[in-house]
Parts: sequence; structure tokens; C-alpha cells
Amino acid sequence: MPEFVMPDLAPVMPEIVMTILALVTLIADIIFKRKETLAILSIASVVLVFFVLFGTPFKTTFNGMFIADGYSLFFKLIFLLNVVLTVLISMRYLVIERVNFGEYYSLILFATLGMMLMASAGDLIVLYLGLELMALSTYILAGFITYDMKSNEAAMKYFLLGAFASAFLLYGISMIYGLTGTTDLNAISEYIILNGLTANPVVMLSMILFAVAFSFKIAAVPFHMWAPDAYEGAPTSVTAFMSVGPKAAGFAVLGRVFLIAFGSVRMDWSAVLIPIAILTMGVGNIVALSQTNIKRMLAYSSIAHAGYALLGIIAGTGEGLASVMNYLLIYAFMNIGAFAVIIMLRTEGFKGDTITDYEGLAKSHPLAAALMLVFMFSLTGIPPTAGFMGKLYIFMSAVYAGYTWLVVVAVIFSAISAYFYLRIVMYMYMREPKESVSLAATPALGIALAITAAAVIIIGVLPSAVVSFARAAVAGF
Amino acid sequence: MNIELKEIVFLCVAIMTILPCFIVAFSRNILHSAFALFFTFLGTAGLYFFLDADFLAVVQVIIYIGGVLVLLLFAILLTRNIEDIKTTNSLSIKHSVLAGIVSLIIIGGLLYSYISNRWVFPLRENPDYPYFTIKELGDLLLTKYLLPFEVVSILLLAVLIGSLVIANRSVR
Repeated sequence: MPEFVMPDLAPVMPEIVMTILALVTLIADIIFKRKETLAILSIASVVLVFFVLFGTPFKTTFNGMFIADGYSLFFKLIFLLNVVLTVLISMRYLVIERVNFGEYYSLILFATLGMMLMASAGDLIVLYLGLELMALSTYILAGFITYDMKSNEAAMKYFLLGAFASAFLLYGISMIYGLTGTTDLNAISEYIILNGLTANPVVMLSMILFAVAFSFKIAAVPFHMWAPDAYEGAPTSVTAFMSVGPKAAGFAVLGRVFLIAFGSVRMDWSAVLIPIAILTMGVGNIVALSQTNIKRMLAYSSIAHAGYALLGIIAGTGEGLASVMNYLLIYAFMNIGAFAVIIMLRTEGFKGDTITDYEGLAKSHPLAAALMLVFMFSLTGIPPTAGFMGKLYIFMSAVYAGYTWLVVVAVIFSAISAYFYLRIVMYMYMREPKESVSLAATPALGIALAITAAAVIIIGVLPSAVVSFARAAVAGF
Repeated sequence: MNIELKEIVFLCVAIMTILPCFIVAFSRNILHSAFALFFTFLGTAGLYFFLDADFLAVVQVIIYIGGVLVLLLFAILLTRNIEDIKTTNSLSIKHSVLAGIVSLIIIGGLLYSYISNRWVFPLRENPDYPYFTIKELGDLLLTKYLLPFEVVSILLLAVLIGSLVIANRSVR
């Protein structure tokens, strides 16, 4: 009989604190009538977890199932940042949509806990459970406006296709377990190398199933069908949350599973990921050209950005991984910033989510238009914004890995993307306002916009700090 | 092949699993189908016992009979116009032929793999296989798989909260 040994809890401390604080937020919902208190409480929780995170030793615990290292630390920072920014832009928005319920905040914290477990998973079972915790919480958040048919539709589509992706993932896990007899990522890699299974069809099949499942999570073509409907129908704050968090978490597990467990069959999985990356960039950028709804347009833009980030994974080097992490952090700032502006246009009785609503915004609200300009420039990748630096490092790492032709393709698609991003800028600055648009500006929204805009410009001008942090994080991988 | 009590019981359980399947598939009354499904589930639990998977057998009874079947019966009882069976449970020739072909392919594939590989199922018990799997599984859940066990508890809590949020459609 195995003896019960208390596992080392120090590396899991951030997750434990997160769990406790999510439960506290849940209970506080009963006590406090003002839901803004819960928003402040969840931001305070995340800040506390942030401090615990930096005091956490880099160790492996729970029999190798949980890995605390620089790689997971960096991704956890993205997740925590995502929570802070999402909560800041949600506070007023939830009141306007009349869904100001406390469960919103605890579900966001639970989803983030799932992401943190994914980033630290050293075992496929923990990876799967973290993914489900994140996904199930996000499905509910997508359908949070229960009286709105579009929100229901978003949640339903997201749920059905997400469940489909989970089935693919489980199928892949069961195959690799049947072959190697373990679910531990390092042990799988050792088994494949020791037994010379690098050309084994079962390894190939399970690798492809993993690629399919993770492509669903990061919304890569051809597994992106859920994204436009889910992003358009979901509450805008949730769209901002799920376009950054689950995508980053998907990349975290993609990197760990493919570079560790399937590290020995790198040539095979890059042959699978290259067509996916090209299709993702192509479909994302070209379909975005014809969108009239800005949330839908940003959904396609988010698909395209997943394609750029895949280039860093395909490069398969530590430098490539660092550039992906760097890119996802920058993407979190610029994307949530853009959604913050969209949320600001949503007032009582005015949806503000079609592109024509932005006509003449520069005349009526110059500051909001200027901020949107910064985020659109950054999403296009125009210097001196952070989006340019992010793309530069990704493309550089892919060139160093020998994928110059792939980078040329990416740059062409990136040039196409300028059309639909800059069209919004053109609408804001070169057209006359049709109707008077009022803004739902609050201090919280202002803070979120200030953080995102400042980060986009500062990282764009001085990227070295973030880049060297990402490189240091990958060093212990 | 000497037939002992064990083999006779096994045959009874196997028949109890397979025969009600025909009622499930061909009955015109959906309530009869649901009750026939009960015996199929119970028979499957019995088959698990024969495979020395006692935990799986108990879980089969709890989840499939206690959960899935009861849910199914509730769904039937709460659905209006359930008497209109012909529209809900109609069998078309085209579908039957297609289903028949697929089943034949599956049976053929299974038989082929059995014959061509000459799988000899070990009659002697594997000495590593625990006598009671429930106890071993419990030990593993609280030692090696402690973290997944804890994560599942949080997962279930999140789902519980979420289902309440979705179900509570009144705008407060």
C-alpha cells in the first residue's frame, strides 16, 4: 500500500491562494449588496496571488504533476493581468447590460485558476482538468446575458465545439497512455526515445489529435468556426477575457506538450502546424476584411494573431518560445485595450459595435479616438507600438530557425491586415459624425485604458525588459 | 470446455445485456425502450464483475442506472406529446440497411482481428492485479493522483455555480 506523503505545497501556493480567494469572492457575493466591492475584491485577490507567485520556488511537486518554473510564471502573469484588465472594464458594462451578478467575478477567478494549472501541468491528466475548468467557466461567462439570444447562441456554440475539442484531446491522451503507459510529459518523451517510436503511427495519430484539440483552443483555422459567433455574441468584457486568457493558456500547453512530450518528433509536428499557421493567418486576415461588426472583426483578427504566434512554436527553439510569450503579453495589452474602447461606446440603448459607429469619433471624442488609433496601429504592427516589436521577435526567431519563406507569407498577410485595422482609423478621423455618440467612461475603465495604452507604447519603445524577462523564463524550460 | 456454474451465470448475464437491446432499438414505445435500457445497463455492470473490475461495475450502477436512466425517465415524463411515438421513433428502411452494414463491418473487423492475431486471453490471473480494485484506486487517488482529485472538486463546484447562473433566467 502506498504511504501517504504530504506533497510539497510551496510551488502550488499561488493556486491554493487563488482557490481560497475565488471561494471568498463567491461567499462575499451573499454579504455585499454592491457588486463593485466584489470587483475590487477580485482585483485585490489577483494582486495578492501576484505577490505569492514571485515568492514561489521553482520546483516540481505532486509526483511531477505540477511544475513551477519560469515558463509557467510568465504565463501566469499574463493570466493575472488579463483578470485585472477584464474586471476593470467589466464594472460599468455589467450594470449597463443588467447582468451585474457576483458569480461573474468568481467564474473569472475559477477560469484563471484553470489556466494557471494548464501552464504548470506536467501531466496530461492535470492538463486536461485545468483545460476543462477554464473552458467550462468560460462557456458560462459567454452566455452570461441570459435574456439575450445572441449570448445564448455564443455559449451554445462555444460549448458544443469546445466539448468536441475536449473529446479529441482525451482521445489523444488515451492513445499516448495506451502506448507508453504513462501520462507524465517527461516520461512520455523518454519512452518514445528509448523505444525508438519516433515513426510509430500511434504517436503520429495522437500528436495530430493533440494538435487539433489545441488548435480549437487557440482558434486556429480550420478549427476556428466557433470563434466569430462566440466573440460576437458574448458580453464584450468576456470577449476581451476569452480572446486573451484561453488563447495564452492554449499556447502554454501547446508549447509544453509539443516541445517536451513530442520533442523527438519535432519535424512531424511542425509539418502539421505549418499548414495550420498559414491557413490561420490567411483566413483570419482575409475574412476580417469584409466584417461590419467590430467584435466580429476583432474575432478574425484574434484568429490571425494566433497564426503569427504559431510561427514561434514552429521555430521550436527557446528563442521562438520566448518570442511567443512576449507576443502573447503584448497581445493581451493591445487587444484588451481595443475592447475597452468598444465597451466605452456601449451605453444604455446604444450598442456601438458596428464599424460605422466609429465614424467621426475623433471630432466628438478625440481622446477615445486617439487611444483606439494606438491599439489599431499596434494590432497592425506599426512602430513604435508594442505590436511591431512582438511581430519582429516572432519573425526573427522563425528566420533564425530557417523558416524564411513562412515569414514572407506572414508579412504579406500582415500587410493585408492593415486594411481593416486602418479602416477604423480612417472612419474615426476622416468622416463626419453621423449621430452623437456618448461614452460610458468610468474611473475603472480609464485606469484600464491608461495601463494598456502606456504598456503598448512603452513596450514598443523599450522592449528589452520584457524580452529579456521572457528569455530568462524560457531558460529553465 | 467444461461448463461450470460460472459459465452459466456469465451466459445469463450476457443474454440479459444483449436481449433488451433489441427492445431498446425496435420498441414503438419510448418508455418501454427506457425500461429495457435498465437491464442492459445492469447486465453491463455484471460483465464488469466478470472482468474483475469491481469499481467499474459499481460506478456503472451508480452513474448509468442511478443517474443517466433516471434523468432519461424524467425527460420522458416531462415531455409533452410523448404519446406521438411514431414521429419520434420511426425506422426507415434506408437507415436500417445502413446501420446493418456498419454493424456487420464492425463485427467482421473484430472477428478478423481476433482470428488473425490468435489472441489467447490469459486464463491465469495476473498476480499484479489487485483483488479489490476499489481499495487500490482509493489509495492512488489520495497519493499519486491527489492533485487531479482536488482539481476535480473545484471543477465540479465551478460547474455547479455555472449551471445555477444559466438556469436562473430571471433578471434581478
